[in-house]
Amino acid sequence: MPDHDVELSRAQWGSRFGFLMAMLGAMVGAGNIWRFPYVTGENGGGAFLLAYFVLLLVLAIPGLIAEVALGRYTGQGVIGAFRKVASSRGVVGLGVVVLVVNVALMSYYAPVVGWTLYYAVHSLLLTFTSAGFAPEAFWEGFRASGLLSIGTHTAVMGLVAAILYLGIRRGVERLVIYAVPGLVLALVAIMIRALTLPGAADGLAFTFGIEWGKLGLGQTWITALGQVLFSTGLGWGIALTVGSYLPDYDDIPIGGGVFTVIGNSSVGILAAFAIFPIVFAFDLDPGSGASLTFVSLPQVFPQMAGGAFWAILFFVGFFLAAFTSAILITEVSVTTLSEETAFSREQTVLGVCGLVWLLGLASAYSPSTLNFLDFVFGNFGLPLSTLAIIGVIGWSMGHRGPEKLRVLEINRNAGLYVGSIWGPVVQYVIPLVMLLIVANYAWANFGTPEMIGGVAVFFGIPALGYALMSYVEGRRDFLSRENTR
Amino acid sequence: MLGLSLDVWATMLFCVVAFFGVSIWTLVYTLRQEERKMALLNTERDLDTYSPRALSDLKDWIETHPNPTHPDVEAARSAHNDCVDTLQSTDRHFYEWSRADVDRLDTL
Repeated sequence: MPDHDVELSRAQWGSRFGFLMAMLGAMVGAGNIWRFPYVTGENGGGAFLLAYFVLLLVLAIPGLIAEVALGRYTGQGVIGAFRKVASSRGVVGLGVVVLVVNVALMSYYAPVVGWTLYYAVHSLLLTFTSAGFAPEAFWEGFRASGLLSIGTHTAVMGLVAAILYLGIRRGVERLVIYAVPGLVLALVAIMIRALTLPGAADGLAFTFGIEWGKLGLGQTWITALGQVLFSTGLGWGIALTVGSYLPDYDDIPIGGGVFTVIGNSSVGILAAFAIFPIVFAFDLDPGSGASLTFVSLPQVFPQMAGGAFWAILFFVGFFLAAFTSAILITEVSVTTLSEETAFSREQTVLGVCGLVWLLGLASAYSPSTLNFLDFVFGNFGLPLSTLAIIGVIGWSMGHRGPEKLRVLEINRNAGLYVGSIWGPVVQYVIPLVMLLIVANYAWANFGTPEMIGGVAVFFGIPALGYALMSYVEGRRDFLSRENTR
Repeated sequence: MLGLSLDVWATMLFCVVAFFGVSIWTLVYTLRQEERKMALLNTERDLDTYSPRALSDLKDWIETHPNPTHPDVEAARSAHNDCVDTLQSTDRHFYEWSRADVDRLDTL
């Protein structure tokens, strides 16, 4: 919308395309590229994709619509949004949960983005196609060097701070409108090359062949549920934050829901088309996760015609996928804390990025710390954050709460009508599914240090949030009463 | 490639249509809607904010709220009435409103 039509008291996305790319850039991350194709192939291929698609429609799209709508409805970051729709201090404390989980998530994600930055830089230096290049030694050397890991982690947080410092329009939006299409184009180019390799068909058969029997297995559906909820970033506070900058005249259901969810999954499928034909053409192990990306694929590029070019496309694209997510994850804390404290946005950016950098040093230096935090926050912290946001929308918005959000916000200026069936999905289905997933993780890892850590996170952070916000909100009320006397 | 089984081709076709197709279609659709909104704003200076079904839902929510003086109801009523006023004062609309539909509308 033109600037002159809207009185701006808060930053807004400069264009519809900017909002869409911010949502997509936030949700598309490293997991889309190294995990999604493999999970698909291992869990029944086409049968898994069918289950996954159904769950996207039933859970992810309604959930993300709810989260974006809460953001625009309140026009505030996480804690401010919770305060605006719920009067209870305990509920406002759930905003702290989302904040803590985001900072913790970024503290171990930033070093991973650092890996992608290191490889992107080396692809530009043509390292992977140079004579005598040994992928395994290169990777092991990098991981063993605390200095290099900390250095790339520092560089990533410096870049994140620089982009966020410039603000929503001049920083975040200007980056994502180029980075996200750039990533997609890189994957399309690699896909075309990959599909023309001899033996590529085996990769397609692994990922897309149908094992109908798997559709009847509970494990397939649990895996699909986990993939749906984790790959779309539902309930992490990102969609709420991005939505809080969405102008009133813009649509929510198509942009915030359908396009984000299906677009995000499309990048995962594009990665399957691009990478797995290469994996099978060169007889690599498809289930090797991070080492597939950092050890196996670099072996392949020197064997391909124009290998340096394909390496640059792949690793720069991979870095962009991870980096745009890092930007938007950090933005959640920046938006919230700049509203909740007396600090300016610029000061908050420096403070939050400094804190994430400091906390991330442990994960950058020690792979076991990174793995522990990934398990604890990935399996317990993120579902807790989803429960907090979806719980507030479903249960703390007063009379017919979800219905209020639907009629007042979601269907206002919408490009797609959202019916009343949306309410029960948000109120009952998504929270129950999240609890089921957490219980499944706890049961599968019963008694392990990771499970104990996860349970501590699951109950400890809400207690911390409640205590903190009880004090802060009590003091705020006291000062407000004093001022009115 | 040609040796791939029928189920692999079927899955790939499903992915192309259900994922790539839907993504591209929604992207184009929503950007074109944005253009329409901007064009309407330029010519009409105002934009209807609710579709017929959405406005009916909003009216129903307002009328069934147990506390008619609640601030949420006030906000909803204001949103409803703004939309009705816009529909009655503009010739071209974003949503599919017929003249008869608009004539039947009343502010709350």
